[in-house]
Amino acid sequence: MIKLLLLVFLVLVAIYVLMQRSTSTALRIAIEVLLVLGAYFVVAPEQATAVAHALGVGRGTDLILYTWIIVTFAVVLVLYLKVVAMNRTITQLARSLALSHVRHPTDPAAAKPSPEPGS
Amino acid sequence: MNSEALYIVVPAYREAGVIAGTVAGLLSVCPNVVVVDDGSADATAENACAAGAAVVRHPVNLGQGAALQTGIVYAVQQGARFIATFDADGQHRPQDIAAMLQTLKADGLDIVLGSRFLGEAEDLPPLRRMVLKAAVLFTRLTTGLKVTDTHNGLRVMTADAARQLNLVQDRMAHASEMLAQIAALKLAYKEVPVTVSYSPYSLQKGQRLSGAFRVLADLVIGWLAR
Repeated sequence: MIKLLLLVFLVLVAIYVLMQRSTSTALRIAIEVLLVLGAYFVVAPEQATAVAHALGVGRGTDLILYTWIIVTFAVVLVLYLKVVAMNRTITQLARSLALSHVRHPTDPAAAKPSPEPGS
Repeated sequence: MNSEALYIVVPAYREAGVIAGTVAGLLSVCPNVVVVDDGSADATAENACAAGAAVVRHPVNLGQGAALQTGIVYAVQQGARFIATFDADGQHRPQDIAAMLQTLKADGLDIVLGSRFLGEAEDLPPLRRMVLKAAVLFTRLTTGLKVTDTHNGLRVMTADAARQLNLVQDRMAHASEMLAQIAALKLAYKEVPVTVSYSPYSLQKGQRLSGAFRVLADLVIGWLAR
């Protein structure tokens, strides 16, 4: 039963990834390969254990856990770099906004920050 | 000094209590003072404007590096020939700027950096001295610049140098970033002695030891995000 559930989930993820036109083709293919590999290990978990033994890990589940931890760290790093890039964009926006409403000491009328088109 | 062509950029965040005094001191040496209020919730912008500075106000808090870059862009847009940066908390002396500008012009340099270790560091606590010295060692190793003080907010540069610098480190890593860019752009630089006075106020506003680790993390992330 659990195998069926996992396989249905993997198929849904595979369809979702295929529909992501904005993601690069190489990345989509890599994810699909990983999904097929995951489906294979769901159907034949003893094969995961065989691979684990070959790599010096006790059980297949342990191997998958270790892999998952590494992938999670990589995903967190990529997401954080995206946050940094987004913050740089926000800085540029805030800077151009700030530079369009400069208050001059000689010009009290400019004291109120009111957006002026083309200023 | 030919003060018409000089702009002094003062990044400020929550400095309502001291900004007027800092601006007044600067206006006595130069008419063009621009305070970049980094999204303070207090009266920093109002007090700076009332004291006679032009005020550029970030709509949200972005960090000191972002504020410096905004002020530098503003000064360049205004047609500045020389740009000085100056801390808002009153730890620098306005009269040091004239000597730095003199050196900049006389030696044909791109940028002159203030150094408290060539000059006077009044009432500098030992732990802060250690962190600053560690930052100097880090900068010498990573950029090859032979500087003695890497985190001094007092600098004077030409407009040409200002146009080439582009600080993208919004928070406190901008000081290291600026030195890295000075090295990468091969700008002609020189350190001159300046006096930095530590008051209880400036110490409370200043960076803690943990800030140094934040700077290191920002530099690594900035390098990865290039």
